[in-house]
Amino acid sequence: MKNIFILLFMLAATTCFSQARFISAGRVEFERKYNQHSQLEGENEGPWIAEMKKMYPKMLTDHFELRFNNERSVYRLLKENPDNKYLWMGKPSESDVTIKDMTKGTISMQRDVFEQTYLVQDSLRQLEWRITDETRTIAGFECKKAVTKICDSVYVVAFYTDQIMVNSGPESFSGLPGMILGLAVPRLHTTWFATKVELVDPTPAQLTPSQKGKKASWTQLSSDLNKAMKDWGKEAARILWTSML
Amino acid sequence: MKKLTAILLVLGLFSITNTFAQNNASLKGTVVDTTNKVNLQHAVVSLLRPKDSVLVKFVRTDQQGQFNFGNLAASKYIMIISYPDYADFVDDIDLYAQPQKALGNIYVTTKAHLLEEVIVKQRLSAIRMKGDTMVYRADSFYVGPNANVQDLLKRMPGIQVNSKGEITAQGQKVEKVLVDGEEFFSDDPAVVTQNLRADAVENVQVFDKKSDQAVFTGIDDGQTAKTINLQLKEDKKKGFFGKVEAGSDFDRYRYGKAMVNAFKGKRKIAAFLTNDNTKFESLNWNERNNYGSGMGDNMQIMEDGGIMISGGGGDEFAYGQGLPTSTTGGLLFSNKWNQDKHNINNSYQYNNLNVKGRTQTTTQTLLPDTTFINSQDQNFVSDRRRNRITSKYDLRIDSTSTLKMSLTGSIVTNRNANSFLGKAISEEGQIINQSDRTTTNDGEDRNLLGSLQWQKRLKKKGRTLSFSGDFSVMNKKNDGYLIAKNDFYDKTGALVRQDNLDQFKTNNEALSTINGRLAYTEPLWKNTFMELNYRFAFNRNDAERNTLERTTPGGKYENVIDTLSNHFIYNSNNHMGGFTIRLNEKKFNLYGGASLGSVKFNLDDINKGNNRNISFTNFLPTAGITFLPKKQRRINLNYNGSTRNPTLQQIQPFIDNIDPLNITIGNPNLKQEFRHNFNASFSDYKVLKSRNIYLSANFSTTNNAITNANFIDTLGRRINQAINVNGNYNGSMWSSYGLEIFPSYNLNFGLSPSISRFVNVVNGQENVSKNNSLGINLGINHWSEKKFNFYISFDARYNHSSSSIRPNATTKYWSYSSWADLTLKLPAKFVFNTSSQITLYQKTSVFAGNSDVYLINSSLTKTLGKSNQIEMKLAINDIFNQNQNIRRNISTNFITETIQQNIQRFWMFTLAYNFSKNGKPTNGF
Repeated sequence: MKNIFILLFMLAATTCFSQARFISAGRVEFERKYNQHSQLEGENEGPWIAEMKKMYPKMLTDHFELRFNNERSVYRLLKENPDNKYLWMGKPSESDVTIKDMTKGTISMQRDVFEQTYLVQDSLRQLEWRITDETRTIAGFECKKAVTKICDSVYVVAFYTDQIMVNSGPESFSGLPGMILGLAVPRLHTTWFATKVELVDPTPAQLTPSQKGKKASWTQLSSDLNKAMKDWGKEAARILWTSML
Repeated sequence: MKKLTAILLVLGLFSITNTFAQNNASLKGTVVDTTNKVNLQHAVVSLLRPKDSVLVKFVRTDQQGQFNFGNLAASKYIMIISYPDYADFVDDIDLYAQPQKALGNIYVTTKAHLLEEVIVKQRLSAIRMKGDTMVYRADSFYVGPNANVQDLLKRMPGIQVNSKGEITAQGQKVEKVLVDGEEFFSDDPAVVTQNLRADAVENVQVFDKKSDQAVFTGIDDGQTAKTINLQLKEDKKKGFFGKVEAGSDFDRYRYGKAMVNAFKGKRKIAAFLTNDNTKFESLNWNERNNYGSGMGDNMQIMEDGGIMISGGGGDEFAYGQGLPTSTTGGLLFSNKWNQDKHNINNSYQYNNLNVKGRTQTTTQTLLPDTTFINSQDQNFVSDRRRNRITSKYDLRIDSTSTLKMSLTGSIVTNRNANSFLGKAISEEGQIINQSDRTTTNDGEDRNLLGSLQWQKRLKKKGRTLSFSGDFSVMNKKNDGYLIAKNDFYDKTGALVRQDNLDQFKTNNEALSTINGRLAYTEPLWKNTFMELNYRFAFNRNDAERNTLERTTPGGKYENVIDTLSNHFIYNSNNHMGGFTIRLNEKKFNLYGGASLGSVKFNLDDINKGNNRNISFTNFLPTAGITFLPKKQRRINLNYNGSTRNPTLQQIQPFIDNIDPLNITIGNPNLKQEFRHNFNASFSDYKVLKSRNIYLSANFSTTNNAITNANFIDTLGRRINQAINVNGNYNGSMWSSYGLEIFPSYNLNFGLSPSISRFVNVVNGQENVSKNNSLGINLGINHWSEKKFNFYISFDARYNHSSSSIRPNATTKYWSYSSWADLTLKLPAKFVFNTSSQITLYQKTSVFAGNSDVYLINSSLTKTLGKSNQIEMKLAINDIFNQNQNIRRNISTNFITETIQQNIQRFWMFTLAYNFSKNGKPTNGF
């Protein structure tokens, strides 16, 4: 299936010469992989941890989609994966949806964190991206590698393509000259890679999903979480970083 | 917060540079294709900060290929122009020297032009290899002892590593390096290969996008990524750890333990030895996991990740009441191999437990016309020894099936002696009876237990087949003496009867059981599953009891007392089939099912030549629903019904005169009882608000409940018989509300009422006992890693009980209990801990003695050494010298208070030394 789209894309590219090789609207499907055993690893590996590792799969795969045009992009879970067996707090929420408005430079992100549904409304995060000369091909696109940090110390590696002219990407990430098709957060043992790019224009309805939740800014979300988890030790950092992606 | 500061800092830095440099610089130019001389639209022009390549600003070229940056800070930049399939154009731009810069035409070239040469070079030097996945065995390539993976790869044919650390395999650039199938360093293969030691790698697998390997491991790797997977060797680390610990008050109390665990990879050999006269169980949870065979067999992880420890209250050698002296020793060998497919665990354990103690029991018996009080004072001494061998084997047959087997053999010898002094006193203060009894027992049990569990997931999702079964063979042999003197008095206080017993009893039992359960689950349709199961249980018990008395006073015990001797062979066969249907929806789960089966009992009385059969039909319906209305909120409702059959003991008991004041007779008309059980629970947990609510309630009512009729004669002897009654119920509720009152200080509040109605028959008259109680609980806790932790909880319970046979004699009292614990971390690695356990019972007219216990323990610990190898501890146990175990219990027309002796005040100095090499014990769960 993937190949068909690539073929279509290539076909479109060759027939229309250089102008058409750029994409400004479409749909990207991302595959997120998470090593949930990393959560169980640590100093205190008693018999319970050993049993848990047997019961819960190591790698979890979930699929997300990003629909976009020049102005907006909408990122959400594609569908629940019934084969997955998640540890506590690990299950992706079907109602989470992230809208980025690239013209206004704003983000509106509905995200379930513990019992609370948050609606983070803030400006797009200004991250310091370090651009490298490394490249990698993802879903048929040549991507450049860029590196940044979130939450002070958590490295995020992104692969973006300038062939897609929309400056967006999975989760809340954006700010690179093009579309992020690959993302890795080594500290969280999680990667996102695009598996296909479709040239379908999003409908207005698809770009304006309804959202709800407790309104908050990035700083408020992070201070809420820090307050609730202050005695949690190592586990708190992981949950905080995951919630701030 | 930190993040915010960082952002502010960055913004601040920007604004500072801005004020200095002023945003008045600009840059413009036009991007042109070299070969076609066409202006390129949509090319990305990025400006980077030279010192760290951070992206400062970017634009895309317009239709004419022009770009224009305004409002730039006047400083130096690196400019990169990129366009798909064109080589990046990189140049240094100095807007500091020249703030308004026009670059004119910038020519870019397609990659095809540039790369031709490179590709040719690669072809020349590469050794071509065919096949989807190449696997290199790391050991077959010699590299130096401290070599990294890069050095290893360099030696492998078909793989090249250039000076930048870039890897080429089979002529293609390697885009990804995975470690054990996991991609986290994918952004930089060089980092992985430089930082991983070559001798840690088992295999190097090279495959590309279409390989089966990639599909199998589920690693999606874009379109052209060549991938190397480094499969690591299983940890072959060798080492040991252990602990020596000794404590004493240099007088009566002492304990010592020594334990060691030597491991090589996953092979583990451990041993321990303990001696203790301060407590029953010397090894704690962590020590059992590290040096003993662990809790693995009793522990089960539930669907939601919860932990369930089963096994009927644990090891019989690990708890008790009285003054213990225990000696234990153990040896363990365990190993896992072939990627943990095989797992064996063999252990030997020796236990010797010597207990001395005293138990005082006071029972108030309510009769229709009177009450009387029994008191009994028991002194005992017992000595038990056990040798036990356990062998367990787990096999992961394949990814869909597992097999677990275990076999345990043990020999337990026990000797004990008991002396009882008892008397019964009437309401008027008149003595009714008095007994003085001594029993001894000397015996040996031989046990063999085995179990087998097999599980298989079938191809269709949700279809599984499983079998679990176990067997046991037990032989018990014991004999002992009963020497008793029972005096009975009439209302005037005159001695009316005296029994003197001097008997020798032998008891031989051979028990065997076989149980099995076969289950099959089938997905019926989406979200709906059905489980079918079949269970069987076979039991056989061959029990021979003989009571002998002396032929002549002072003679040998050779006269068999026929009425007190018997030989029964008891068999039961139980078969049961059942089904359960489950529906799992997002917001609720539903299940319902039933089991039906039959059980046959057979009793063969060898001495009398009687053979009796009884059979019952068992029916067990079950249903339940769980609602999940919100995250972390859950509502549960369950029902289950169950039949309970009378035991043959209740129908026709073995006649036993161990306690001549308590005699049991049979009831041949006894029917099966049916119990209805209802459960409800609610939980709501809010992390962000630090608030939680739990509620649970259960109620059960029984048709044809098997209770007892007792007849208390004027001599105070109690004759018991099992009977059926209706109208029994009991219910209880538990609730807890927790919230954070100050940061890190949590408060818990709860109410727990309970009700019960119980019907029995006393001296031919129906007696309805009602016991109601209400408990209130309050607790506060604080946890902080650094300074101090504490919790304190307080329980108060009001008990009210009445019996219809004596409506005036209601029992009402308060009972209180409290637990507290405080740990303070002091400077210089000192830790102070104090804990208290307080139990108070309100005095009543019958229980007027002092039954208040304030048990307070305290300790000061100091650790020494870089990794806290040495630990010194000074502790005081039971500062107020009040420790005893007191329980008050109300059932039907009896109210009992039991006081058991326990170890009281002592102090102890302990020294512990932890040693290790290359490893350390696991902690916690």
